[in-house]
Amino acid sequence: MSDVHIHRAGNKGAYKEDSTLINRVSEAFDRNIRFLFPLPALIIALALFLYPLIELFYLSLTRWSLVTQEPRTFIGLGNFIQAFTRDEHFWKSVWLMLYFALGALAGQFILGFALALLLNREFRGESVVRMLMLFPIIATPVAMSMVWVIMLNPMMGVMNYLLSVLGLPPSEWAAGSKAVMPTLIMVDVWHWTPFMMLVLLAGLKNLPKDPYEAAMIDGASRLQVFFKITLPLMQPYIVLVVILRLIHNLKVFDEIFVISRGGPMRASETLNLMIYHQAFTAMNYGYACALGLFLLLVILAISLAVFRYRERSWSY
Amino acid sequence: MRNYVLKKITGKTFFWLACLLAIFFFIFPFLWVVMMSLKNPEAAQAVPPKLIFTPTFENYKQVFNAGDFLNAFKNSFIVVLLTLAANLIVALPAAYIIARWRQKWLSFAILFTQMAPWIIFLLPWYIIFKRLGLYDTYIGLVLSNLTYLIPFTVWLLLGFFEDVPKEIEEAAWLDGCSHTGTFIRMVIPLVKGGIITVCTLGFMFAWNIFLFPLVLSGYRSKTLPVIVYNFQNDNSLDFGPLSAAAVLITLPVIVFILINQKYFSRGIALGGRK
Repeated sequence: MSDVHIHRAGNKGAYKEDSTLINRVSEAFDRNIRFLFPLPALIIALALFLYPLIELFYLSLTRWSLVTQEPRTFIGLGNFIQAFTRDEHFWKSVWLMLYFALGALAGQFILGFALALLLNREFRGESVVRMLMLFPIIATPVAMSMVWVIMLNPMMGVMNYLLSVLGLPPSEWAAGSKAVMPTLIMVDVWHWTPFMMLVLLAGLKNLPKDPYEAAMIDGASRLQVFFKITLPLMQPYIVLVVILRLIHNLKVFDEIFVISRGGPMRASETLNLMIYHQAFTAMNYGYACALGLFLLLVILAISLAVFRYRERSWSY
Repeated sequence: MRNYVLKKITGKTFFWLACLLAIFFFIFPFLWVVMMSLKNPEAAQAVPPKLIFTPTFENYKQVFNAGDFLNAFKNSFIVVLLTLAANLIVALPAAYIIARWRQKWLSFAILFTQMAPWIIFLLPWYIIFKRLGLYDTYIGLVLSNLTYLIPFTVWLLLGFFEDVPKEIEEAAWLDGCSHTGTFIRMVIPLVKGGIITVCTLGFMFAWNIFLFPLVLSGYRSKTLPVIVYNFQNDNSLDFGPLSAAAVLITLPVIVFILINQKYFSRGIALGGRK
């Protein structure tokens, strides 16, 4: 008995000797993973989101160009006054951003919903068809924008050839100041309709079957079924995907930058593009930061509204 | 009866016609770019477009000979792989803790990071990265990629971690396994599906991203999208080589997604539901 006791005590002693600094640190680490595990993510968030916002705020109050070595001059709200009252393109760029986002949203929604309704059945080759339609989402946006540039070329592009085959007059596409926005919207509809289709299709497949059987017994017409049953039942999915797409459409940069670069004559220079050009082409870095801050506040307001709406409707 | 059969057949014809039309609409640019990439300069600019021609691989040769293309390929791969690894190391533990002690303000923070246009953050980053010597480095590009990938990863993995039964962890703790050990040996294998989903979509995001490397990379670390864009700036009417470049940059991501198709579809569906 005592033998065993001594043995155990000896073991414990050995353990005590073993509990070096490393051991104690790892134990302390283990007790506090609740705080330590999220720490790297928190540091990254602070360093790459919060601190840069402070810097952005400060820069927005200065006049400063990237190229010249002259120091930044503090000009207070000068940049904002410039944007709101003197810069003719500012409000136009806001309007172009909204026009692009809403126009693309409408196209994506109508086409995406129609496709989801079409594909909401079982048929052979279902997965192949769906996969082929996903190609636009997967492909590198810059590369595909370049393909569109080639296809939209007013002289040699295939799009004008297709129009002529259909007996329609040629268009200037991205080279015309009237045609450029609808053209960019068309490209974005091509790019993102599959996403809309996929989410809405998932929604349609999850709908309960009973209301449809009841409607069939009552002899309701297809249109009635759609408007009285499908649409109301689909509402949560529709709201969700419309919000997602709207947010995303407000951010679009790559396609516009590659296809039209905001031109011709700034006819497609949305606020995103304007910020980029002011910072890196026109070299008004402080002014660009002021525009960025404005955009940030707009987005923040939209996110808050969305968040409160979501809290209400799905009690997240 | 005959009427019914006829109606069924026309219905089916209509369905497949509509399907083919939709597929044509979405796939046409892909077919076109592959065709253009195989044409010689004369055929590429012909009006009306030539559908029958002798294919040539000259365009691909020209792209590879353009010097910085292979280098950009290497840069892209390194940045993507480093991004995926760093993302898991940072986001997995964070998502695990958040799933166990969920907090509401966090969902708002994540939502906001997903909404904000990237150009806003790029303005201060550019200045800060230059100051810290992160401009034109792999680390700088990886950091910029992490800013959208970590929130996305945490968001997507929350559901997976919540599905892990607490009893499993508690049993491991009782057996004397440390919290960290339990997390690494028990919990992570159970969310493997989520990890593959995140990496599949993360590969696509990081491979395709253009705006960050456009601003944050210089001569040394230019990635493929930037090189291809510059290429277009310099030779805007060389349709053949441009098409070849577009094919070469898109091919890896399409092949990768096709291999991981199952996870890709699930990731899109999950991302949509949340």
